[in-house]
Amino acid sequence: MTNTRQIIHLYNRAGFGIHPGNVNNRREKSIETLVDDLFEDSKDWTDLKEFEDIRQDNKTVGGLRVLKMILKSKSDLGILNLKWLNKMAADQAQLRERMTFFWHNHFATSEPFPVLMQEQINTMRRHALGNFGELLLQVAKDPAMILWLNNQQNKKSAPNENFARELLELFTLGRGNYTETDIREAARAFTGWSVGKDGYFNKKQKEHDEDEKTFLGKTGNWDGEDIIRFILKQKQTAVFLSTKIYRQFVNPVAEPKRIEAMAELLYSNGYDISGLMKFVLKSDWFYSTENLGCQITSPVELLVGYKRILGIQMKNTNQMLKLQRTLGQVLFFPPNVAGWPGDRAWIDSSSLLLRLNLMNLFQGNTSYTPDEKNLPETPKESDKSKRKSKQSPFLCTMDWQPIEKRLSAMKLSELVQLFIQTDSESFLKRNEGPLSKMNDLKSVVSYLLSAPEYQLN
Amino acid sequence: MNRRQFLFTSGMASAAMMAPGFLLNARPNLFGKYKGKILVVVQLSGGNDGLNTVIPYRDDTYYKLRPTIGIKADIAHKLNDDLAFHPKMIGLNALFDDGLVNVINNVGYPNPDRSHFRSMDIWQTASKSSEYLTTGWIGRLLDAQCPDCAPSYTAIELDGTLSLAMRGEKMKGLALTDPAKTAKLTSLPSIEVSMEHQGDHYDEPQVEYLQKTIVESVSSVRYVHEHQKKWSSTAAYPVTSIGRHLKMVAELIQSGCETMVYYVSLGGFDTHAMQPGTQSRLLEQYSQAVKVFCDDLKAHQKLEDVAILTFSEFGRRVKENAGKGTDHGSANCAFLIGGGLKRPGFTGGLPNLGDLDDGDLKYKIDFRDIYATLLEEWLEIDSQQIMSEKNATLKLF
Repeated sequence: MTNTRQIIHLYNRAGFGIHPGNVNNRREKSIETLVDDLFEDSKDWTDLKEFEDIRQDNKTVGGLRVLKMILKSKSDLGILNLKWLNKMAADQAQLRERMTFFWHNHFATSEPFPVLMQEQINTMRRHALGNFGELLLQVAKDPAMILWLNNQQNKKSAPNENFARELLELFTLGRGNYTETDIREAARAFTGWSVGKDGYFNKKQKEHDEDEKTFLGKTGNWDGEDIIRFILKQKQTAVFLSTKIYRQFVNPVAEPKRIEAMAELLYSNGYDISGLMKFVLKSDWFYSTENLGCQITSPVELLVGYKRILGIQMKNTNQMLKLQRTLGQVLFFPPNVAGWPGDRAWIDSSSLLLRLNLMNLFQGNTSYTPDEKNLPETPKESDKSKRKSKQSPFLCTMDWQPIEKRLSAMKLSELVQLFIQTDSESFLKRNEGPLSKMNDLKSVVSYLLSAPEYQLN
Repeated sequence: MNRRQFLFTSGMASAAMMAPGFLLNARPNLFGKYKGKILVVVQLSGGNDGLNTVIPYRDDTYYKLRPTIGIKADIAHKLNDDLAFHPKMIGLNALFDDGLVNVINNVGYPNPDRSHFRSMDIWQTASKSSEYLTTGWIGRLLDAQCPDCAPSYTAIELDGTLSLAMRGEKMKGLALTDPAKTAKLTSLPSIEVSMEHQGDHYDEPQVEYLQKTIVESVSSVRYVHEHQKKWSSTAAYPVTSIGRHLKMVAELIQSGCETMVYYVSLGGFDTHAMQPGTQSRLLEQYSQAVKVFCDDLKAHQKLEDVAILTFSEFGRRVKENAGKGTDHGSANCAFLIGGGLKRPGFTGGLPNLGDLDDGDLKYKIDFRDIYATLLEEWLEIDSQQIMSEKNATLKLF
């Protein structure tokens, strides 16, 4: 017997939310079962397949430089972005998709090659619930990552430390757990790990430094695989990763004792991500009051949530990208290798006002459209042409039917619980004025979806 | 109107009036030392080509490396025996002649990054090229002045989204382009509830955080909207985005809006191909708007209170490419403009085209020294709370 708040909490954190009409039929099941179901649903998955891998056909074009031009011109990352956004909303393998999204932020990459970014995200999805060591190795060999962190330029004659630095600082150990010498030596071990002329991973032996390196106190003729092995041997890697998972899936405020337990498990199970996530999602503390409704929903989760609840489809799909930009999170465009800072960094005056007005925008109640910086102004673009359209540019089609079918018999207090993850009693008390005046379901739901508390999950 | 609506409307009105009021206790800290000086940042995004902006017209190497896009001395505006402004920078040239401009050459930072995003982050956060900061230098200025109370309109960005530069740990600036339009976003029933409950205690820290941010945002947006309505400039601003934005800045300054920093951007400077046409058009837009802005402020005795910083995330490769353009480079020029400049003219010497770092200019002035100068000499604020290291100041104000 699981209560509404717990069910929604689980699906918010381990996926991209649950349709409010599907909550009641989960109540009979135990948390154990619900979590096991989530894992079961993620056993199979599909790749993101928007672009043909054109590298095969262009093997003879003459070098990576030319290939990069072809790859760049092939298509637009925006298309891939929207494809993924829709996949997040519709995919059966919710947990796997949610984890893939986590890894996209953890190994934050933004290279302008749709084929390579598609491959990277598919690699992350494949290993999303697998072994972290294997994922790490695949990421180190990933063409987009190699280009992104300049390992392409990392050669025996002139080592480039960029990848090695972020590997230690952002991907595994975290600041203060290695020395500058460790970075230099790790960089030497990854010399020659590059993208070949054909656009695939290629270890160039003649660029690889075969001399001895001393990394984390161990000396030998180490290669990249050895460095990853040594990193995984450090318990700190398990602590670092567990901290990040705790803060993103549980509570932005870290709780050292629980993280210690997570790290212990992750380390002893050989970095099995599934094992760790099962432990977290089945723990009592995952459902304790202080962990409910304490996360500020990220822009991507927010938009996907509207898709899952109301099936919103924007008339002008480009506007969905604009909305991501304005809210501060565009898939495939993390701000830098450190990823999106998250939590309260999502919120400022303009982004919060926009978030609260999203339902208004989707329903076409306002023609508000935010200006965007850094877009070059063409001479022809006059004020008049901008003012021409009064219709809401963010107008969406919505599917209210499932909500009307399954929620219309519910009491107000029940409805509130289906949309608001913070304390519903105090929410009702604050909002009883406006809510008591509403007599149709759509108004109530629209109101709840525009409440500040809806920004939290 | 029923009683409830009336209460609500009057509550809103008083909240709007009170906006700076309930934040007044914050002031002593912020405005105690603050003498009303204003900083306007104009960011040229995309990497403006500094060598064709401030042209070293006596340097043969310049013309040798730029046979087609190099700008001839006879059409440029000569500033001294070595340097000249781009031909389209008529307005800026006039300001220079009036002693209102300092041209800073060779601005950059160690281990320059040639990615737009990364280099812009470095500029906006004032970080080293090896560190990733999640707060911007102006955001930290807000934090340092008053960590829990500076209203967001203390720093206003003329844009739909807030740049990293404007984000502090606790405090953040306000992003808007059209206060009337943004004010409409505040008339939501759920926002009304937040306003009615301002000052309440909430058991859940995140709920409290959002509620407080809403109250602050609504108050700030209405405050700015009220001020913008007070004054309408009659100066002939060009009908370009930067023209519109600087007009609004002038109106807010003249209406007495208590804003310390304004942030404005002009994009499109990434001129990999066919540079001359694009850059001419953009520099003309920039120069025209800044000239009208300065004249407007001068006519109302405000120019003495305003300093304008213009920068771009990097300069461009010295040698032109095959497409009549230039690729990403490193060191660049920046401008400080304003009535408070004690030392107009030049800083940082000439660009040295004979001593390049892999085809790019070497930096001599760290951009963080310019920030420190603006903080210490102009705003008279201890820069060490804001910058992680002690920076030199340039003795300009």
